[in-house]
Amino acid sequence: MKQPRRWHFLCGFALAVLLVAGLGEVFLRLFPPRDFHDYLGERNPRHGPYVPDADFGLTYQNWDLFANDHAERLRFLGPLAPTSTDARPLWAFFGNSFVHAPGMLADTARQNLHEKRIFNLGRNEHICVRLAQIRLLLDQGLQPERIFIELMPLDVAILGSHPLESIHVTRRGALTYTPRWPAVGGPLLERSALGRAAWFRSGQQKPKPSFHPRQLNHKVADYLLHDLDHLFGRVSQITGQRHIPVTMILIPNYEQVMEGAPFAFQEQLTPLFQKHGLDVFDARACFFKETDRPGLFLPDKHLTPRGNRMLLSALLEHVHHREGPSLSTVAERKP
Amino acid sequence: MNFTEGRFVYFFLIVYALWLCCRGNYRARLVLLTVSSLIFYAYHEWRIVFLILAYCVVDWLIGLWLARTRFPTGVVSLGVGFNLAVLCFWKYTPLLLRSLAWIALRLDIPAPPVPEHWFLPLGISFYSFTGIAYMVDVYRRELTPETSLWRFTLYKTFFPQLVAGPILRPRDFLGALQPQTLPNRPEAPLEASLLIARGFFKKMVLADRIGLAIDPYFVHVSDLSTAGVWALPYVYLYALQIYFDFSGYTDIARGLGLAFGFRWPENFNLPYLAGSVQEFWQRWHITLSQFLRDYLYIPLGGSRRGPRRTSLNLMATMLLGGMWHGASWTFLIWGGLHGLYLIGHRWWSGSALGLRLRALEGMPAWLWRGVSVLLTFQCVCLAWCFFRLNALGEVFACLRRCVTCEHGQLFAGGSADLSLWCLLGGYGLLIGGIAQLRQRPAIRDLLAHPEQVAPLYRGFAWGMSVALFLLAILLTPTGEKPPFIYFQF
Repeated sequence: MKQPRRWHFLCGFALAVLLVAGLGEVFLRLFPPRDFHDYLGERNPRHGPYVPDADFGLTYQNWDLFANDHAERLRFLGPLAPTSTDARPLWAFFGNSFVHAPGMLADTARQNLHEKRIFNLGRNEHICVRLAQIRLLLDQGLQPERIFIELMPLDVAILGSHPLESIHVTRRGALTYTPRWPAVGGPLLERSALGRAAWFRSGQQKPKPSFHPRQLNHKVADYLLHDLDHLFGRVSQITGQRHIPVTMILIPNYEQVMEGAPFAFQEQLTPLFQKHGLDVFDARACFFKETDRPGLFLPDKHLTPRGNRMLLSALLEHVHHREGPSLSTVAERKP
Repeated sequence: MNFTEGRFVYFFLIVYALWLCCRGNYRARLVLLTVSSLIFYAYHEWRIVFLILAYCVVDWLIGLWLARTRFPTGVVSLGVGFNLAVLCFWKYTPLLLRSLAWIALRLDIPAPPVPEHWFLPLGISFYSFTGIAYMVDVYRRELTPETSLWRFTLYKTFFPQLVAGPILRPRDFLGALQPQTLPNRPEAPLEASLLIARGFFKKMVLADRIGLAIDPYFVHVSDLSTAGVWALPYVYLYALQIYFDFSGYTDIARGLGLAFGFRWPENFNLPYLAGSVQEFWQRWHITLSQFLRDYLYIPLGGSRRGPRRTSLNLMATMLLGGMWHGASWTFLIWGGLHGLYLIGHRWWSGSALGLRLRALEGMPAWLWRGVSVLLTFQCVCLAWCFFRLNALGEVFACLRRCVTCEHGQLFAGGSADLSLWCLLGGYGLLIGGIAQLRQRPAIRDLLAHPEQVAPLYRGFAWGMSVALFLLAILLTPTGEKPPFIYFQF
């Protein structure tokens, strides 16, 4: 192609690209995709119930917002403390769906431990929100005999890709993260909706883009250990002031039990929790005692009823050893 | 493998690069395209490659046998029977078992076990039909049997059209695979890139976005959680979703075909602008309609045996067409509805009022055309309810909610997504604008003879296709993206 024709071709090409890019820029400014909202800072259109917090990065603005959000659940659970009509000691479970989903650990405890009243919320939350909920409930009068905090690699995965320092709360109360920008061209990408979209689609906007949850089975990175040290140090202080013992429940994931993944998560976090005076129940032993290990898991990798009973029995045995012979095991109590 | 998967882009680039390298060698091209098609098909489940190879070998042998046998009817019946039997086994076994279990429950007798998970080989409905078309054409002596198993395997398995069409006629496609005709250069690369870009935009931006907005509603359509929400916008959005999804796939398939030098027929021609259901089926999944017409409707007698037999033939064709789409009684009802529509249209076309309205001219004709298009669209959308929902209870709940809603629930949930309606409106304007532009001689020349048109226009067209493709990637919604809808067939 001769020189002028080549230039005409390139001009036409550039014109088309600019036209399409312009339309895309307008559309993305008007309607940023939902998965980008978390990285838009004050441009995030979402509203939320949070305010910044020095202990956990964020907390609820007030009790009413939390209570309204969990109204049905709180109605089901009843009073936060023992009453004259129900003086049973209260055990509070906090964790992910392995704890609160129907039929999981908390429900299993409720069905088998009649001498205790079981308290558990019903939703998966960001780990920082979960810990802030514990403090909020304690401030509002929750009086548990013991707190159980279940923790698995998937719970801290969000901190692995978005460390504590990247968490912010907008003026509208929504949780956002400070995105990472490239060293070259960062300001341009920040200003352009199309540039932001391209950057965000690449996944490079995450503060730790190379993090993958499966790494937690092999090694917990130092920055993540530092964040967990801070968070659970505060949990220890808050519960210690109220003289409430805390047991950390470390449930092994499917990959660790069935596929031979290492236990670095448990091995690195146990001394960290113990340093803060938190009791640790590492549940892997009871899993490996089982001959029929596949039968412990549902297709979605949660635990079967047998798996939950096994876990509860092992947990009670652990607490029994710590507190003394005040509880019979689940096995002894079977009809 | 799926066209919208990232790994497909790598797969295509490698195969295309190899194809460009071996363009001078017929056998090398044949083997490359065949092997890469089998890899494409078996990528997620390697065992199904044996199924498609079994189809290829049996259909090829039947074709050769037909040329030698004195009992061609018996042989072609055997071949067609094999194709249909295997298709029915994979597709309809769960439906049969569920139905038997339902009957057994009511009769209080032991029920057969119903498998929880049943694997449906990708695209089996399409390649079983291409096999049937081949054997019937050989039987009718409209086609000489293919002697090369490689060429026949490529005919059945060529990856751009393997899993969701267009359904290619054996005489056209097999004819293009011969030593003298197998393309060794791309056909209309500009048109190919525009088709591919348009297809990705339709699927990734429009169809997927609609799917994410409306799927939660249809999952809960008979629940209290959606009580009072007007269902009609969701039904309209589903009509658009299935159109963009399927036509987007076809655009990509045709674009890829052009890249390898094959020009395939249009499969969609603005179907929702049809003024009757008969016209709808001339614009929607055109290759399937023609297949059903040529291999089912006409052999049954077509319209040659009086109005009653014609109605029966239409109903049988549409019922079977419905069952082909899916293994559920709702698909049968969907086909039956279209059969009723076609029968009704035949009656209406011959009525005095119908003839008078067809003879209108000027503005009254335009008005009547508009009314016809709207009515046809409503009829098609009504039938889509049976296509989208698998349980009759859900279908009737959806239909009830199309005509009732609570105050403030006219556009609620996903149907109130303003970004979606802006995208659809913008796309509609763009299509309308392009349709107007295509009337201009300069644009017709660009597409027909791009090398003769000014470089500025060619550069613009190339820029549009590249930019549109990249924009589709940026605008694609995240979340659980729906697969191509027609992949389930």
